[in-house]
Amino acid sequence: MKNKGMSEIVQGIARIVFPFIALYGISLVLYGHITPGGGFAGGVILTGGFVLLLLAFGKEYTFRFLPVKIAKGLDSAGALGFLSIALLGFAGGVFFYNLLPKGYIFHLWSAGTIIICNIMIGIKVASALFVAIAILSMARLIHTKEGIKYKQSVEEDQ
Amino acid sequence: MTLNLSLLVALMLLMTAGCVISITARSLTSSVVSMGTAGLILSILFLLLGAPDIAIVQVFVEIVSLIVLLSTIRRETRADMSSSGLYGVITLIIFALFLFVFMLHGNEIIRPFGQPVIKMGAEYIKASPVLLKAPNAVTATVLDFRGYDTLGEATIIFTAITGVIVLLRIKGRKDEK
Repeated sequence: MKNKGMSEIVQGIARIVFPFIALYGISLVLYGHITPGGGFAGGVILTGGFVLLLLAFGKEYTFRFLPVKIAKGLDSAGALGFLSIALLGFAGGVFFYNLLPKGYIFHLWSAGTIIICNIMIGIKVASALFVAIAILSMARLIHTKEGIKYKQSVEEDQ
Repeated sequence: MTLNLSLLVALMLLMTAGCVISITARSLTSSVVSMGTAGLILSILFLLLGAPDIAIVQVFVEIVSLIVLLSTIRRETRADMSSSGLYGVITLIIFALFLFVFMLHGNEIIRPFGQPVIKMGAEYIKASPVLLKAPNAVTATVLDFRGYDTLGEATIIFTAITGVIVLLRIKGRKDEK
């Protein structure tokens, strides 16, 4: 594969740092109901890790790691999952009713549906922002004699 | 936690300076970088005011948007901005005077810090550890007491991403030749 990213130093650092960024994002999502954080913050941090990969290794490597098609699917799946948890509340009577057992305070599996909502929103935000940045990074404007033309640099079946 | 008011004021002045520089700078790059300064100082302010949730989001959104803006500038833009001239300065001064008068008036009717008009928030904070067993009252409010709002937010993000995909697609697009 043609190496299109940044220099070797940046790639080495990114290779070391990316798992920690991803781990931090996932822990923010999972512990959103106990510590500061939550689905949105964790999802944005996960996207930051993928943007680091995109900058350091180039598009081809990152899209092999997480294809845009799958990211689009995850985006829709997160949104639908959140909505289905909200609709599940009708089993308890009202929209968004928290019908799972609450457990004990400061435990990971506590607070009923909140942790599942956090996971869904984390997946949704991370994949949605990744799709936006990936598509923006694929976009190119070409200046020709007739005017400005638009094309995508990576021909991917979308 | 006691708030160091002079530190807050200094950070706010620095943030305002960043915003003013980002408007008046000649080159787009320095404008974008000073806008990033303002955003990062805003995240420090959120942290000092006791909102770590928002501070984390602010830091990362600011960094990601800086990356996008800088790469856009590097690729597409060659020409620098021309200065707005005397007319822009006069408009800015008039706007600042108007804002100053408005804030002087608002200072009389605003409630003291930590005593909001709506009393519902105190109930949420009291109920979230007892009723929901969730120590983080912010997440408990956002995802349980105010779930409708978060659903709307998720819909907004979904719509925005769909818009980006549709606008920048390549398939099914009629080439204007």
